[in-house]
Amino acid sequence: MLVMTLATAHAQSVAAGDGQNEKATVKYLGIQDDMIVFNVAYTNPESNRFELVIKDQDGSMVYQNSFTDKSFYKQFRLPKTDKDRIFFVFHNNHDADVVKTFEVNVNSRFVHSVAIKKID
Amino acid sequence: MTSQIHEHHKKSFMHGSKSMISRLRKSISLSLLTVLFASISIATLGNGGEPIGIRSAATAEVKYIATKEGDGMFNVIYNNAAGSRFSIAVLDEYGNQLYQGFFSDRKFNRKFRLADPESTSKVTFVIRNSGDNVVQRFEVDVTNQLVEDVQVTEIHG
Repeated sequence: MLVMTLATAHAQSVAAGDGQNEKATVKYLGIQDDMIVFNVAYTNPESNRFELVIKDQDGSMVYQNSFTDKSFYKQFRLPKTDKDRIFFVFHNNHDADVVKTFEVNVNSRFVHSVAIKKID
Repeated sequence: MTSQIHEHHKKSFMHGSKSMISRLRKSISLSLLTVLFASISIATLGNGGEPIGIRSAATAEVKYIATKEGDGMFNVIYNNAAGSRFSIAVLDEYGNQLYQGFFSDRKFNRKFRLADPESTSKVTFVIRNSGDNVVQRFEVDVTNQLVEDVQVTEIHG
């Protein structure tokens, strides 16, 4: 069911034309304090209410809120998990949803530092 | 305890009658060598204290060799010109002996790998030469750090 929801969202994202896709911008900034940082911007000149939903690859909701900002800008810090996809879904009641998808790959490895000293 | 460290050259782990006889022979010849060295030593003292003849107090080396797999190896190099019998012991941070091997190679060059490098923070290599009673210790501090490389890419539909 969750997969279906995401698949639908993705289909709508593809269908979102007429500059809808350009209204929303999501930029990956990097890692800060072990969190994944994104800048999210949304152009909303009519001040329509829109909803921003952030989901992980299982369709679980990480964040949800609605706004009416004309020029929306917000920074999000998401925890690093083994979930490898993050979806930013922009929904308003007028246009098709805009979905921005990010793939996250976390590779863990051990680094050995070795110091050898002759003591006698 | 010796099983906690693997040595590349399995020779030293040989157990059994053959190796026992071989050890016994080596032991006898070592005793003879020890007597010989003792004589040289005494002769040296009588000669103004200047060392002469064969000495085996060459400085040993312990190097760390990183591997692609992440678990490194320790390369022990010991120029034992006299061919004296010497031991290599590896101790953990509490002084417990993880490994001990006896050798008499003149040009000793072997690699040791820790069985459990992730849980090892400190080991000490002790090289003890029975010929001249020189003991060399090398303290190895191992720091294991978990590093996460994060890659985030946008997927354009």
